[in-house]
Amino acid sequence: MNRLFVAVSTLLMTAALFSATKEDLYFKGGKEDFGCDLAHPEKGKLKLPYGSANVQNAVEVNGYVVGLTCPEYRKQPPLLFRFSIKDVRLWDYTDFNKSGAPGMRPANGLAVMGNTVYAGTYATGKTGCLLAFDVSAPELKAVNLGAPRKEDGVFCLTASKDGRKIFGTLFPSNGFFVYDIAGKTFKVVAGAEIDSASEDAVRFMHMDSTSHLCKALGIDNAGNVYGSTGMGRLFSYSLTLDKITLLGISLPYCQNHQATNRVESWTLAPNGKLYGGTSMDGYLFSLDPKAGKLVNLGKPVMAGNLRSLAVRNNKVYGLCGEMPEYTHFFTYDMTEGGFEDLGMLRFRNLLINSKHVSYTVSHLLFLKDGRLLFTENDLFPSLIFYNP
Amino acid sequence: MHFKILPFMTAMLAYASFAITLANMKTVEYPDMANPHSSWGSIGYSSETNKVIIGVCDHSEAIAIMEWNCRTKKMTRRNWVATSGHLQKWQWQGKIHSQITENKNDGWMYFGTDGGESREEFYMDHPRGYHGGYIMKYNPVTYETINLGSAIRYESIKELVVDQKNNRLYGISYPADHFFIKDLATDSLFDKGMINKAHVARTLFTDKWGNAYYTDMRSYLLKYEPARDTFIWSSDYIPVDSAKTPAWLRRDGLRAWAKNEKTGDYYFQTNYSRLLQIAPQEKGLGNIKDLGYLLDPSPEIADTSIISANSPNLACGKNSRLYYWIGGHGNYLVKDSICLVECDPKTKIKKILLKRPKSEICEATGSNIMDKEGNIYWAAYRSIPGKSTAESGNSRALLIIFNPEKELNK
Repeated sequence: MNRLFVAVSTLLMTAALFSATKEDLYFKGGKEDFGCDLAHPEKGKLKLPYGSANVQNAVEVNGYVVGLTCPEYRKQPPLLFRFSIKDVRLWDYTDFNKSGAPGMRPANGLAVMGNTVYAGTYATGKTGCLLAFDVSAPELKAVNLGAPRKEDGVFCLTASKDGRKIFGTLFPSNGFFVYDIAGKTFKVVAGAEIDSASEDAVRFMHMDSTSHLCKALGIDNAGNVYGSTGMGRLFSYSLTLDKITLLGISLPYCQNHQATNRVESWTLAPNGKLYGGTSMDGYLFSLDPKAGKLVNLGKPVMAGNLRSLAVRNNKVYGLCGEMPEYTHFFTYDMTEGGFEDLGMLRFRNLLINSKHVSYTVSHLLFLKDGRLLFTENDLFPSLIFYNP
Repeated sequence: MHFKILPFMTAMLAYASFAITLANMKTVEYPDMANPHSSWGSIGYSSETNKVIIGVCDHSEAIAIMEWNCRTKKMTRRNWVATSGHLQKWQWQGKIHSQITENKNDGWMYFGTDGGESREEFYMDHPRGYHGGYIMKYNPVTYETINLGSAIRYESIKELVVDQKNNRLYGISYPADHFFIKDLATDSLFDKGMINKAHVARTLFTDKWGNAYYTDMRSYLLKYEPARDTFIWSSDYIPVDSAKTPAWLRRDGLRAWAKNEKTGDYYFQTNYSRLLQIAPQEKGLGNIKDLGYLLDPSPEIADTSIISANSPNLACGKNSRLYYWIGGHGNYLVKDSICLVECDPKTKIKKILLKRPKSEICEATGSNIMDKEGNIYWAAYRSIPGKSTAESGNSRALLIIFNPEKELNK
């Protein structure tokens, strides 16, 4: 009898150990956390069109998560959608083509000013534009604010600290532009463009036309803007001098990866430092804007592409890994140092009342209610709400 | 009065004379292989050569291509996947998990390779981890294997079927569940995206128009129509007893399928043991008929046991009846025994025909494998003493041959 008990116990413990090991691959959150599907067709419910729903970025405005999609199927248009946080449902969406910009790709990032969300467009050989959407209006409508420069597109954008300007970079030049909201004027500021030697290096690597372009802009407490240009070098835009300066600082890299190294994500910490993530190798770094000093904090996971960052309670929260690599959720302890790789997300999906694995997560964002929002960029994406 | 009961009596006598016994089946072990653990789902029938092709693995080093010659009744190991597919060490594969499907356009047998789950999953994108599965084809005449290349990076191939009309392959990758298309005429690969990230349903089937059938994570039937290059969804769940079926089981989708060659109807079963019939049509989903659970509940066997039982196999005999084994992976209807069940789709009546202990048959896999004589085949395994579970070590792969209409040993 004792032998039987020992045998059964051992078997159960082995099974538990095995399942625990398997489950450790994932980060699951608590019982109240969930993912809400956006695109599976559902009877009587508004859903994003299949093939066009891949969520690239999101912001919180006026009680909505406002999300930007980059279509999985190229012939379909990018969308801007509203998701009601209170009602936990997709509210409405509009496509970029309606704004008179057919065949365009959405720029990286969204800029928010009050109840207005700004987005950009670009495409090879075409002139892209800046779009504005009034999120408080009954119906989402894109207003075309024009182009920063003819034959350039908007590749990434962010809002200024004072709420008066939109900053962005251009496609394919990597030029820097400033949009004055009140004056409705664009100004391109020289200095951030990719130089010919850097372009040659990218050409030598035979990489695509966007792999080296600045994908995200960071802003320090003084309102100055930071981004990357050729060979993974940092530039800054001085708000007071209205001028671009090359900082003489290179992003961390593995040897021979400089040509397509760029900043993929930024976040500003309460200590005044900017934290950033790189593309090719997925390094996390800190930048002290006052001292002009960059510290390489290391790699959180094996994958490259440190896609999104946020700071809360002395912790950096981040996502690393872009398809075909799977996205891992990680944290970095700003006080003690050190990463914690939390693995892939596996949250309860309201649609099926069961868990689903997030293989590719594009963006994370702290909501005003303290929850962390994750957006997925796949064919059937969810918005995932997690209370840390 | 006597004349009225005559047809009934004749039918009863005919039934009695053809009662299915152990003589209607036999098992065959695999030769020339040191440790044949498993042959999960990797079985196909070559109508051109009248052979059954099985992929047998040890989950680690060796994946053998075995051939059962239906005419000579002989089993032969023909090839190893790693050497014949010219795989380097860094391209290691754990098994064949997909069906092995005959392409009637060229006679070759197509299949995909799989990493074998844990080793693949845990190492994922590590430089020494899993590189991804390969699409391969095997020629049952020349015994040649050709590696047609990879599908989705880091992802294994759980399913691969042939669209006979358009000469294309449809595949499902693991774990992210990409639906991909390999066009054999142009050697092009199309990734249609992740269609069910909650769980990779383990089977896929095609109809005569080249439409492919699968399920999404809600357990909605999903159809890919090549003519319009689009997916369409059924408007509701595949029938499910929601109160008794856990959500995680619902999301697991399709498990096995079979076709009635006489009527053209298809049958499929879900991971929660629901049996369904579909009359496929070129456009739209076609009528789906619920045939109930794989077995009707009884005082001895509760419906919840049936729902959670494992049955990754299905076949439709020449008599238009369905045959399937219930049991495996720790889920059995009768303690430590696997049951062979017959279902008449017309009446929906199901009955247990045979019960075998795990030491003889532990679990059976395979969809729609039947030769010209009406012999049905399943890729199965039996349990042997050991520490690991299911088909991952304390198991020996074997082939089941079954004919509902004749005894095999005579």
